[in-house]
Amino acid sequence: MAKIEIIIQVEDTPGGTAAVLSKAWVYWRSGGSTTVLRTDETGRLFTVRSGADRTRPWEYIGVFTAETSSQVDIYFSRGAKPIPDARLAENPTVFYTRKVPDKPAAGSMTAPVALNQTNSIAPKPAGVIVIPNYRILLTKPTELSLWPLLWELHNETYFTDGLSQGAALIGAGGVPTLVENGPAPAAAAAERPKERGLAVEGSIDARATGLRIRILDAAGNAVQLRQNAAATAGVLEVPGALKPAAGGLKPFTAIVYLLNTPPVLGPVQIFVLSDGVTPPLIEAFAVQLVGLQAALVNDADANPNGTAAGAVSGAALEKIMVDFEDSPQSTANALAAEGRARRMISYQMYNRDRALSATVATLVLKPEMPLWMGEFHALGLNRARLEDLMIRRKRQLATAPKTIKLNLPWRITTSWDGPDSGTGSPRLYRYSQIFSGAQEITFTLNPNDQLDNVNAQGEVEKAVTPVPAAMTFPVTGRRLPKLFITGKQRAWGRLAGAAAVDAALIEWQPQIADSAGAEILRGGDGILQVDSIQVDGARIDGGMLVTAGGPAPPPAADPDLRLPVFRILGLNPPSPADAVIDALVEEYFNRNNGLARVTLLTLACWQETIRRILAHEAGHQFEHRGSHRSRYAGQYYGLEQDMPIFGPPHGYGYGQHDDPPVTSDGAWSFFENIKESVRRVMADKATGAYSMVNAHMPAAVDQRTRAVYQREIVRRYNGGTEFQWNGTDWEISPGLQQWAEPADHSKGASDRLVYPNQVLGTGVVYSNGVGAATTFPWPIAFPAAQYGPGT
Amino acid sequence: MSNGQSKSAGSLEAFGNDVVNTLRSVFWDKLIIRLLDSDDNPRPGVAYVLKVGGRVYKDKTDSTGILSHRVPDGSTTGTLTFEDQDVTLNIGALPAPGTIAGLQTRLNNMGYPCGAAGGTMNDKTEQAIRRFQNQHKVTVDGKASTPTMDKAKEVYGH
Repeated sequence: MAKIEIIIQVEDTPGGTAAVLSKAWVYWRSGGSTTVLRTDETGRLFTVRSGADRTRPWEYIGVFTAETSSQVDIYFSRGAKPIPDARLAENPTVFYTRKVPDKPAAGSMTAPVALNQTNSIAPKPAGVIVIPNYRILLTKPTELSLWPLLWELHNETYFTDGLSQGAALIGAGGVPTLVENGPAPAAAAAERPKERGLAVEGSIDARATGLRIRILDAAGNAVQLRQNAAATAGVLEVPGALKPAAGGLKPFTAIVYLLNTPPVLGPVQIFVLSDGVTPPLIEAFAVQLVGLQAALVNDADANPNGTAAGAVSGAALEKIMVDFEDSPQSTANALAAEGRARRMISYQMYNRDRALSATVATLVLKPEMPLWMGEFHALGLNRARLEDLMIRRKRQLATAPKTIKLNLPWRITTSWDGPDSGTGSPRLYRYSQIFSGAQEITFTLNPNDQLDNVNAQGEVEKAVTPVPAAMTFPVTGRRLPKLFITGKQRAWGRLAGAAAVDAALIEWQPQIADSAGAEILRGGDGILQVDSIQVDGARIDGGMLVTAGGPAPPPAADPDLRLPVFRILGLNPPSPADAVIDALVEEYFNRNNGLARVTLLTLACWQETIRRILAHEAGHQFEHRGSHRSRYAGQYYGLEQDMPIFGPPHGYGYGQHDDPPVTSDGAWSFFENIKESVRRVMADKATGAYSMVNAHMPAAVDQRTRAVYQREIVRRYNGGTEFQWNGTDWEISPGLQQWAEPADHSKGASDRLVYPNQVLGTGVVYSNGVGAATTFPWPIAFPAAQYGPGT
Repeated sequence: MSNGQSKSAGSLEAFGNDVVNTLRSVFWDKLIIRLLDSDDNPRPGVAYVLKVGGRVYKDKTDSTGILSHRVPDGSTTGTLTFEDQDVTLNIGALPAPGTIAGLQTRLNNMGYPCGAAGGTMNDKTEQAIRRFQNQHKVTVDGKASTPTMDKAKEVYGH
């Protein structure tokens, strides 16, 4: 039998104008077997090269010929990959039966030729077969794109579900009934974030009265889906919704919920089947399904210098964290009602011996933030799959892109509301601070169709902008963030036991620093999010959420990825922190040793004095007694474990900074708090005290003068003044309120009166008697026996 | 002989037009074309009509698939018709082998469409090269490599 090449044409109406079927898959069923063929831009059929991947159009380079006058069944599709054999086999009625022409169609060509030498000419005529046209188009996702699958963002109820709250949490004694920092029970399934729906949009031949969607895995098998977000049973297909026809097409939408996601992540096909059309229409569109999620690891878990990667924390590591939402309150019950227990991952600060400052090499214990590394996961993606996708994009998309560009705007937000920040108070210490960073990742296909700059470890080098720079704190040698395209696996989601699959891993090293890039510490609540992820300049599709009004896309303002809120816990230095205090006092003393107010006391005396002040003030930086309440002046304050230690009405941290109010540096860094305390004592308080003492400074400074100076400074640290000059000598006559409550003398003397005694270990008698009968024997003599230590 | 003038026309006119033309044709350039089938094998015995410079040549390709005729000096176009195929010939317009344009033109003539032979590589040319390489057992890489150029020159004829 003679054989001829074949050109396929399609017609929109029977007998109408036929057009070339360009760059389409043709399924040629003859003699009981089906062969996948490919048309070129002229409609000519080609066979796949021997041994080549039959899903790659450019491998269809073999001449195809058919026996003239033979009968054949034909179907075609225009997707980026062919319809899998099994799907064709289960849809045998889609084929059109045609007869192969008995001779080629007439043709013409133009051939430049040379004289006097042989010119070979081969018009390669072909017979033309015409079949009905049809159209099924996909607009979301677009073919050969990354099809992102995201998780819902955590609801507030996730954190509190199943945990006692309010009065049930804060017992009669004002302390939690749950074990703080103890393991948190798992949240109920209903409260856990779920995968979002995958939105599918397109249009189908207007003859269709319905359509169904299947998702085919890399082997062409339909994967299990769910009919809707709430369903738990598996189905093989979900219906699409049709809209009115326009231009011969009906737009359609569908939402796909996967039943078991991890094995599906990777290359998939969206398989569309029509209803209401005879013969039916089927089409398959190729996309790369990627599960996108973020994670945060603490490298310090693996080693204190952060040279190796820490582990990804999942829900199994969540602990019970207690706080008070609105503090203070006017009653204990009201404060208890504000008690909240949340399940949270916690990260603790660390302490490490480091140089006191850039100019003082003395090693002292300094705090530091966890050695975080943010992770962006694209599950289902590995080198082979990405290269395959990029090769197809280069060869099959009109723009022939050789790159895929990702933009990841990262953000860590830390915040905390202090016990005096309540809505009913002056709202003093509260803060929220954002630490952001943007990454642009460019995957590039080289001329050899390989991903550019992949090293032996599977890292893609030179792909991230800006180029990661080594962090200089808190320790040198920390690992740099990298981008891995192979050799990494990550679990899909945060649940214990979640299946892990291949993942592209993009790391981002958050820098908790001030605007000048200097290291700072911040604690409290933390949130890691990636706001608006872009692929090649366009924001990714956020999928579909379940809302009261039905499925809906997420609000545009929502971040694409957000980890559940985590807790950053402070870590106290071993108590007492005398070495830190002494070093900071010495540093201040040496730096200001030309000032009379500084040299009036010896270094040792300053160190002794300030150690005593700070020991009395708090002795710690962070609350270490468990969450509890504190009553002061008719207000009940909620104190939170591992948060800055608080003393009513507004004192924070080691030095109980209140006036001026504590800064965030002072709240979260014991080093900065102590440093500021030293400055307050040796500068702010000493300046006033020295001015007072200096007015009556003896020619030869004696111990009495130094003792007065020391005691005056101590008094001033707590507020008020201590001494007055009686014309010949110093005597104690405190310049502060005598009574605890001026309007109610039954409360007796103010506790604050004895502050210098408490700090300095002296026994000056400021009052006699109790209650309303209290008397104040002022002025009070200041004998040598009451001189403070070190003077 | 490219300006349409014969080598010694003035002295031969006295012999009459037919004789003159016959004598002239002895010195004309040859147009040599080999017809190939889908597998690039020669097609012997194919009946054809070649029209060049006002002359019409009717014959069949020889045992090697070749037709060869001297054509009038100065001919720049012609037509070759065989079976139901019409080929417009642009005589003298074939770029040199070893160039991208030369490769593109040869592949186009042999049924491996590269599109316009503009002399630069493009997706269409790459695909045509891949098909040619596959057909002729050259490493399939879509590149205008030396082995590919050599094979195209060999199959095409020069």
